[in-house]
Amino acid sequence: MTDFKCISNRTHVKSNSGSVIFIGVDLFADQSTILQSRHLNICLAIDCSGSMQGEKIERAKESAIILARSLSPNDLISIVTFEYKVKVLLAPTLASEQDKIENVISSIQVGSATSLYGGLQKANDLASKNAKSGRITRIVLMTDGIPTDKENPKDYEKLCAEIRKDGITVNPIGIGDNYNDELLLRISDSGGGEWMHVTDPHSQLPNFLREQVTMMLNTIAINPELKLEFIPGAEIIDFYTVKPILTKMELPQRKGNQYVLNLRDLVIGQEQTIVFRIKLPHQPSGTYNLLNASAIDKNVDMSITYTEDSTLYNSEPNPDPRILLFATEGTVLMRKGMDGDTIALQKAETILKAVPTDPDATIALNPATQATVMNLKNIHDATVMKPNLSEAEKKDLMHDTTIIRRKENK
Amino acid sequence: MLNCPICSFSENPDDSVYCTECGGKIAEESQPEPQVVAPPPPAQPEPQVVAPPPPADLQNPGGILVLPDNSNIQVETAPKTIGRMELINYLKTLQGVDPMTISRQHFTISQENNTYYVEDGNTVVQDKASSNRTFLNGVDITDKGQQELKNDDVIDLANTVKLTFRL
Repeated sequence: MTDFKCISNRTHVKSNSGSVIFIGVDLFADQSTILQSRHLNICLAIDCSGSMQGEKIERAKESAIILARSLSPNDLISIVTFEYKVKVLLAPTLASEQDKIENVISSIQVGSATSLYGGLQKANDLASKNAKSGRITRIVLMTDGIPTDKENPKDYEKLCAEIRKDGITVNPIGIGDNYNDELLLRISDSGGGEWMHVTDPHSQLPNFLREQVTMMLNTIAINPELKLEFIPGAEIIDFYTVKPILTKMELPQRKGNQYVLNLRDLVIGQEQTIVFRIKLPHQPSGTYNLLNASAIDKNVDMSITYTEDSTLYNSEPNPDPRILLFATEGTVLMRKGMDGDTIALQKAETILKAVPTDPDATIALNPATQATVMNLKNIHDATVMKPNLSEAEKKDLMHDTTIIRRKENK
Repeated sequence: MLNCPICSFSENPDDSVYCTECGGKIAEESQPEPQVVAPPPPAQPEPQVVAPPPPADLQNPGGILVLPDNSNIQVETAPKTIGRMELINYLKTLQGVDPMTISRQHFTISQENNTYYVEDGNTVVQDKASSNRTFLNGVDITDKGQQELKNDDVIDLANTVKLTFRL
């Protein structure tokens, strides 16, 4: 069953006055959701730059073979490698041709340079050929370095947004300490995927690749939209996704009173949590339709009452969305602080003081909110305890505070 | 008008509980929860006769805490905690000092009727006393309630960082 929830922190605001409220949105499909079985179409884009030599490339090859073996005979797989040159190693091929696939993977060799953009472009050429035939399509990008062809994250965001329009998901996997985590995070945001961070290729890579197949098989909606129609004059002023990825999102385009947001693919068992900061218009006393929200086949209506009664407008029936937004905002600022932005660090510290970190105070909150608050506290303590974090420690911390879901599973 | 402690927005109406700019909570709800620990009164109430007339610039009294490297922290009207984060840039420059020696909330500085106070303990903004104590002019004031601050007083955090209070 698909569960769709919208919660605001306040139900009453002051008449004829400006107010800011918070709305949390939760979308979840549980195990009982009826799944249509669909064929898969997966494209592996593998970094073959010199730095991949040795353990990394060998584990990548081994994991690619494991992934290919876990596919059903009618699923499609294609492979692109990129170093200085971008090569199509395997055009889309049915997984039933196991020998051919394994021979191709075994033949992979390293070169020099990292044409990541070119590799991603070529992967899209291959993946998009069969994306519209109802197959669940995913590009899995494995890299350990900084791109040498295009460096500007904006170029990648633009490309990934294009890829995403065809319903294709881009999942970047970063290996080791030398890749650009910020870039991979942006690729996963715009490509609708999940950034994965591999510190130990031997134990993690095979699992991560197998997980890709499981997630594809459990996908029940590709590129779903969240439609939000607000009371006229209301405005989204901040927008964060908390699960499966904690990140600040670009403000969506507004058409009239309606916003349309692209969500990640809905996967069974994977919760999507989003939180908004909303500026409300001035209104005379009365009850109004605050919001009509819809996603997949679900619909939620919410109302808001403008009143002169200070007991009502000063009450907060559910502090959860407010605390969730501040904890998320603080975490995003803290990450900037980790990279040396002292103003962001100070802001994060102020926010940390404004969210309850005492276990007694957080007990009534949703698990996702609790986890986000604890995350903020952890990232803060780790950063302040060790002002000079190594690159490896920073990446671990960045990743731990990005993927809240994994944190809870630990 | 109320100041928001989170985003510093200064034009919130006096009865606001939520900031009209960032939505953060700036005050307790209109029915205050019973205070578990009553804020302790100033240690020594000032005799009215001796109190000098307040200076003309009462609106902006401007106390500051001066760090050993001559950087400073502005003391705001609202009670504020000083701790590791506020001092982190200075702490980073110290050789062989573990920043964790200084608590996240090491002491509270507040202002009432143009008089400044320092306190290291459970205050309206501080959860508990610092782990490694606070000294005012060499005297341990940890968990001893509010202490009045005068110009040139020295606040020593954990025998590690000395801050000079200047009016």
